[in-house]
Amino acid sequence: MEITEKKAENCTVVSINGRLDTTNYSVLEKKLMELIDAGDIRLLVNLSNMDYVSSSGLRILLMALKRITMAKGKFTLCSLQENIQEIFEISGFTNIFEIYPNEEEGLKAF
Amino acid sequence: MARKEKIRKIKKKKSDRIRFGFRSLAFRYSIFFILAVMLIFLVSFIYTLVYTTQILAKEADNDISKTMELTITRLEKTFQEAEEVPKVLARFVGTADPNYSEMRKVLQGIVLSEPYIYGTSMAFEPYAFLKDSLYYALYSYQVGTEIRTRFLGGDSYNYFEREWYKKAKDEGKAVWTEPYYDEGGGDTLMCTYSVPLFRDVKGKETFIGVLTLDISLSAIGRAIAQIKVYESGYAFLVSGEGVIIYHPDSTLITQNIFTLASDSIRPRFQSLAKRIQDSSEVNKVIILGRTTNTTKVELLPSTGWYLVVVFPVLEVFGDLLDFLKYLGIIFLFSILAVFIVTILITRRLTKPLRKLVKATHQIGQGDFDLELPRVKRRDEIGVLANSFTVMLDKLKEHIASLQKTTSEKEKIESELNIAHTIQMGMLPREFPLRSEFELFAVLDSARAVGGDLYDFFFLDKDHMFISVGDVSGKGVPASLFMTVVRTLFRSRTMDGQPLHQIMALINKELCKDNPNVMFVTMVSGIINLRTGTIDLCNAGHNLPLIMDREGEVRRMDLFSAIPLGIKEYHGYKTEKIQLKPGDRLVLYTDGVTEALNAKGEFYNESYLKEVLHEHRRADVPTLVKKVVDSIHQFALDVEQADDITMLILGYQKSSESAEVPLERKSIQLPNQLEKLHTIVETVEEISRDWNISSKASMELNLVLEELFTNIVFYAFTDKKEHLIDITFSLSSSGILEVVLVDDGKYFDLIEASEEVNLDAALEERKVGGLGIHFVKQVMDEMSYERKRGKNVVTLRKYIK
Repeated sequence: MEITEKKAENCTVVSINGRLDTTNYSVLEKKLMELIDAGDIRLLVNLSNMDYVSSSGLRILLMALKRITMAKGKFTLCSLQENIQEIFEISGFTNIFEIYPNEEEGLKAF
Repeated sequence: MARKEKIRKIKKKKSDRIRFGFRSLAFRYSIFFILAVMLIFLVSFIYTLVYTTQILAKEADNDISKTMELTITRLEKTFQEAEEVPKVLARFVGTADPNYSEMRKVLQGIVLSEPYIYGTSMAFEPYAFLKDSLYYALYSYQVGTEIRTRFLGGDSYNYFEREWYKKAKDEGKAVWTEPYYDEGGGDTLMCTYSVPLFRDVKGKETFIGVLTLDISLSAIGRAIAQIKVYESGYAFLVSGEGVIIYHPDSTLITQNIFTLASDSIRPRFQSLAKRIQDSSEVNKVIILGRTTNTTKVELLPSTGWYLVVVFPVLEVFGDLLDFLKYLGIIFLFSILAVFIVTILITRRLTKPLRKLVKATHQIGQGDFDLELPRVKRRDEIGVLANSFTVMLDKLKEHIASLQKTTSEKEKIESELNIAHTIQMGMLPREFPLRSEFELFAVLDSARAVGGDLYDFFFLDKDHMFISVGDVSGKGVPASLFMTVVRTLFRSRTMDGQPLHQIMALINKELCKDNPNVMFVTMVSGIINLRTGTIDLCNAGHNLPLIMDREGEVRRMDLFSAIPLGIKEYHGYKTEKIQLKPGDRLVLYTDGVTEALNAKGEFYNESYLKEVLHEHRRADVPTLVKKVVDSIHQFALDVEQADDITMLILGYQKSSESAEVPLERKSIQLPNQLEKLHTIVETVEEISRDWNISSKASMELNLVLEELFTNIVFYAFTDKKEHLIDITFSLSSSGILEVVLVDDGKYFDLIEASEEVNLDAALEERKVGGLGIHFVKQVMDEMSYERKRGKNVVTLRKYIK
């Protein structure tokens, strides 16, 4: 798994590439918590290149959402692959997360 | 609050304690009695008063009338005597021709004859006595003790114009003048009786003069003054013209009462004047007047005068009033005495009542053993006291029997509870955990002991007997019958006979000794777990439902034979049905479909179908629980008349299925998280080789990751290395099966998995617990077994 980040106009875009599973979720956890602790509480996570996510991965996304919501920031997702979208649906996460079809629209929302 | 209570208690006590208050019977009846006595006294008192007053008034009237009559008679006599004298004299003068000395002698004789004759005169017409004298009148009168005689008449005293002369001359008969003060004549207050004198002149009666008799009013006054009326009463005399002739108050003498009446200084004269004017009022009997004084008036016939008597009423009734005063005092004392006596009597009468009141309070506090006061009387109070004693005895009996029945009832209830425990204990609770089927059942008794039953037991390794039945009637008899039925099935079904024969046999046994004609409706079945075929036999029971993998529910069309226990019968039928993997057989009693809600609506079969469909993805135990919950939600607080029983058998597929797996792959991994990549690679491999879609492949990956990490994290408590077996297989019918086996500690993930609330808000969402939820959602079947110290998790997914 690879994580990249770039600054946009109103927020920070985090991209996740590859599998997010039990073996590597802590990398994402560390990265997101660093950002949040540094006051970066306006995050758009681009999942266009993420082709697998396990419940441990979802747990990190949920944790980040909770932390940022508490801090009155904004945490959104965009560009979910079809099977990822399905996993989100099964877990009921589509009701919790703000999800945009692509990065462009995700940025517009900030 | 405690204070308030206390005050109320004290108040209550006060009002309850009937001693001798204003509300007591004694007081109230005394008051009534006193009032009645007072009324009677008052009536007789008034009557006495009126009666005695009338009598006294009458007597007083009589007395006064008598006195007045006497006085009037005396006066009348005087006047009549006085009238006699001039008449005799008139004849003498009329016939004879007396000279001066004869006349003087006669006149002086008259004056001497009566003390009240003040004087007498003889007055002649002009020139009638002497031819040369205009006046000729001779007058004899008293002066002290001597009698004087002198002539009347002259320029200063023209007697022809005097009333005493003129009136007699004009009227031609004897008349009484009004009282007058005769100046120049008698020089005293007098009344004159004038008699006209006639002489026969040539055969013709000719008036020649007047003969008078003066009555001194002071003499008459003395007679009247003698009249004594009670203490301060008095009498007075009034002339016909209203001139007061005599009155004790001498200033009133010669005054006219009519003048006085108009003067209004003395109002009493007004009524007197009225009575004299209106002669009918005269002689009226005295009445107890409104004023202090009463007046009585009597006419003197000869003179036309009135005798008036005035007397104070109080003096007439003086004694009576005294008498009444004493009577009143006696009356008051009598009342007081009567009052005290009445109170004493009523208190004596109500004494037992008060004792009873006290006793009632004690009884009210639960003291039933108290001795009731002995009342020997035979009156109503005695009767009351006796019935009270009887009531107390009955009450004691009643309470004793109540206590007895209550304790008996409690005993029965506790026995029923024990029976309930035994009955429930008889129902199998250990549901088999097999990969090829799921079984779960619930029995909800409407009462302590019910008539429903369910049962299941293995006949051999592959065959299992299941049944659901409903015994007619409820309570203890039904539950005993149910026990018999269950025992019979348990003992008779082992023989390997066909189901309809077993049913017929048990029916026969039940009919044999069944005087109460109890019966049981039942569906029984024997399932071959290897093939999924099931033999079903229905004895008058609700038709079972069957739900397929997609949640389609339909009613099974079974032949319905007569219930067991009614009569010997050989028409039971065994019907063979082939179950498909994922089918769920639902057996239930009518307590389910006939559960009532407050509106009187039935739960009914179509709603049951809906509920089953709704929870089609749940495992069998959850499905049963969901249905039962939905019944309770439907019925809410309405107590159900019938037991609610439901048994669901979910058929999966035998692990030793007839279908031989097309493909098979096994891997063995140590309990290290890094080995996850081996799983990923294996899944990739079989997906490619077995032609599994990328979606299914990813789902498989997801599930295996969850289960594998779960085992790695939680299954082992030691630090040693353990091996985890994962076997993949694909059957010809397109079922992908994955079996995970680990030798970790017991962990039934189906039981442990909690329902994840997908709709929960962010704040309520738990960060963990998603893994097993994924597994459940993604896979079509999931089962758990603990086999030989190992956890066996079997997952199935239909991929074609």
